[in-house]
Amino acid sequence: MTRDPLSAVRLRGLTRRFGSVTAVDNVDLDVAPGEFFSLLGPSGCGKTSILRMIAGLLPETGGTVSLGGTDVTDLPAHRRPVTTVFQDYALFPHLDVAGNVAFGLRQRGGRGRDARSQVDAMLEQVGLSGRADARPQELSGGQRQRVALARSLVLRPEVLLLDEPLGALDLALRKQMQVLLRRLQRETGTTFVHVTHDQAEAFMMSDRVAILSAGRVQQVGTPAEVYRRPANAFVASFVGEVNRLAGKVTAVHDGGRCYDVLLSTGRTVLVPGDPGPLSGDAVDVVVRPEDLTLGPDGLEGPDAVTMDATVADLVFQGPATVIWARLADDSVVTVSAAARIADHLAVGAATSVVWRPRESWLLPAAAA
Amino acid sequence: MKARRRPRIASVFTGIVLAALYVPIGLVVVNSFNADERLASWGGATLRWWGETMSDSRVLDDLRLSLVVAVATTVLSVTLALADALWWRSASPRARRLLDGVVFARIVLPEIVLALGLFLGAEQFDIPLGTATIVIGQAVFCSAYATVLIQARLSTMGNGLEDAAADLGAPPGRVLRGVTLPVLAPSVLAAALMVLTFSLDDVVVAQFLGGTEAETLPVLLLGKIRLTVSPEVNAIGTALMLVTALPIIGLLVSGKLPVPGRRSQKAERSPR
Amino acid sequence: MTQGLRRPADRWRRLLLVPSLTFTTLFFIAPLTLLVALSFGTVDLLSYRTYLGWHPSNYLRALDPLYLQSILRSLAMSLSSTLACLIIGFPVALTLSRLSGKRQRVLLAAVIVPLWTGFVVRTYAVVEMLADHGPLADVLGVLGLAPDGLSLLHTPAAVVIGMVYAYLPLMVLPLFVALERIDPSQLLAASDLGAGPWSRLRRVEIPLAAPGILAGCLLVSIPMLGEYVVPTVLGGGKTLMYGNVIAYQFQEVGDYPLGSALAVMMTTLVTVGLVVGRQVSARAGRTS
Repeated sequence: MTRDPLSAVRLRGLTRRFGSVTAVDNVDLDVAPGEFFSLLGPSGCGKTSILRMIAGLLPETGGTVSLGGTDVTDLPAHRRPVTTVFQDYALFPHLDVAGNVAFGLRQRGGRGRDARSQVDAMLEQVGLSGRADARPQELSGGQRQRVALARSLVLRPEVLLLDEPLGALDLALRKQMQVLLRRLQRETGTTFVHVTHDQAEAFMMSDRVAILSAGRVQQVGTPAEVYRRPANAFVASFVGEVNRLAGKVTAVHDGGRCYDVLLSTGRTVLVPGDPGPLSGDAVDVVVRPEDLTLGPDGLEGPDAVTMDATVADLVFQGPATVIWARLADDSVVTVSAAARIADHLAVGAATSVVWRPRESWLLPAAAA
Repeated sequence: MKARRRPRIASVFTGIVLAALYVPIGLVVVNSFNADERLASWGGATLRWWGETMSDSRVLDDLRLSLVVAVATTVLSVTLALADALWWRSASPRARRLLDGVVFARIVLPEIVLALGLFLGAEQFDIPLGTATIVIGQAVFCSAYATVLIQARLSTMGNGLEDAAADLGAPPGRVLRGVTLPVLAPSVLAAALMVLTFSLDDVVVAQFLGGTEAETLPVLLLGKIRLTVSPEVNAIGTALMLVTALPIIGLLVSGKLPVPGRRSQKAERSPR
Repeated sequence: MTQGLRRPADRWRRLLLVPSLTFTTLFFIAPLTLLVALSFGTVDLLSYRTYLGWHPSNYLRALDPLYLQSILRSLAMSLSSTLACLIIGFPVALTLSRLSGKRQRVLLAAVIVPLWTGFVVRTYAVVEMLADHGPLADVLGVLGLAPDGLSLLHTPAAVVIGMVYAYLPLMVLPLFVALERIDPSQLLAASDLGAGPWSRLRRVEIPLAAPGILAGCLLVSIPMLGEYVVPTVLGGGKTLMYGNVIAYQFQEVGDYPLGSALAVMMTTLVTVGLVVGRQVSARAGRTS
């Protein structure tokens, strides 16, 4: 099996239909070896189906799956060099923890002390050393989670698939497990492909993410790329709060990497973007609430833009205050400002919204 | 924690009903030691009837046959049920509905119709009546009950565990042996014990399909009851009762008897 | 259900079906078909040879008042036994549902255990109890009733008593399950709105337990239709119930076509009962 140094998992044209419903629509993806890659999207977007097709647990309607350069599309699940951590852990109730973790090893012919020591080492790594004789039924959710992890990792797979593994855990436990997963991934150097609908979780653990919607890949990139330079309106609003300022392109610069945009408030601003929109096109300028602030002390510098506004509503949230500000064209933007800036404001007060357009991003106008 | 108060009347009534349920059974047991042959009144305690029963070769033969039939029926029924349940998982919805219907029909059809139908068949095709025909007849409805029980367990099990096993490298044979069957084992055991009880207790199929050759203990008892009430009959009856109750006692002791309640539910007679 | 694993062994899966399919076809479908076929046949009562043909007259004979009487009596006895089971069983189920924990489990076991002690033996127990000068007669004698002993045995009443005795636990179970499932907060709400214990029972518990009541009635009445042992033992040699009538045709008379017709009719009756039962429960489900 020749190992492709550039791709641990390669999906080409991967498609899955259930009757008349297309759950996965012609997906192309490359996951690099050793990276923590997340498939992120709302429920029903096809991410779990993709994962199961990589594992071989779901036959594909079309397309190919390659692992480490080898086409495994026709290979049954038990012969693929991947293992899965399932959402409900799927621990074998008739075996104890050690038996569960050793299951794959036994299958490969591992016996006796050698297998046992691997199992023990793995249990130590996930922090379950004393529990080798316990039955899954006796363990807590978090412990079962770790047994499932150990069971999969002890086989040293090329790729570890994780299907919303932290979904059933409470918040504190979830944060703990996120740290553990990140650490394990780094320590073992295994490629992790992780499925979740939780944006914060994906961002926290991943090197790169793929945003999915309705069976299609919307964007692939690092968390920062996806956040700061979303490919479309869906991605922009899925990964965080977002303001959309409507406007029209008046000039295109730098081969389409910069645009002059006439906002509906009357101002013209210089906004970065991807090539595509032409002069005269309707566009949205996408600004994150934390990139807006309120004047006059908000921002300084020649590229700071100030817009008159009135406070429509505000909510104190602790570290920040969220202010809804009504602009001159009657649109409302969400501003997330440090609490002290908004201290003196009340509903109805006149203020100004300040921002740097170069921190925003241009998208073609979304269909209403 | 129940906040409801029990109406006293209902409790008392329940007590009476329970007494009414157990007193007759108790009477059968007690009267097996009754020295009065006519059972007109208590004639003192004796072990005579037990002695006679236990040394009656017909009783012993019938007991042995009952046990043989029960074991054979259990093996046959559980095997059929396992095969059915495993096939059902990967069957199309239409095929499943068909199987469910056939299972349901076997449970719901009056046993007498089933027994007579088989009797007719045996006669038409010159098949001799005996142990084998009894086993087959009992297995027809016993396997249906067993299927319901095993299928219930299979459906709560879902596909997850087998997917996990395959994911970890186990080929289909290993998945079956190492995961599916071990996880099913408790329900298979429960099904086996249930079929054992049903078979030991069965009289309709046993009577019509036993012919002159094969007589099980319940059939013997039925014959004797029609003729007379006597302590000897009581002894046979008590013996039969003990034998029939053994699998269930075993089940209770092992803590695996599925009891209806808020969470667990014993499979009702009609499978969904 | 989602697609299973992709296994080359899928064709082995088909093999799983073979044993059960063969068995069911040979020993379930075929006998039933034979019954239906023969129900249209004739028999030569001298040589006991049966002939297939097309003689729906068997069904007409089956509806002869002689048999019809038995059938109708069967239905009546089945219904009255079911009703008795319901009336006796409901308070028991109610008491059970009001208990909790170990006590409930023990009591539940106490109700279930008789089911496992053997049908024939339990029917014999009833024979003993109802004997002309048996225990029940003694008790009644003490109370001043029936001074000359009972003559209950070998009467329809005895059969009804026997069936109630045999099937009572089977009625209690679904009733208990249905009552147990009732959300206590609904009863608290009713109480909060001013309903006392009897009102709550009448207007909340019983309606909510209705599906269980229906299930119990079906679970008990359908088998009772085809009951053979109890009427044989407690009814004496007479052909009191439907099952006895059919058996009589096969065993004593040898008129297989008639017996088959009667059997087919019984099966139809059972099927109709189930269908009606399901309709009723579906309708009740919609309005609840």
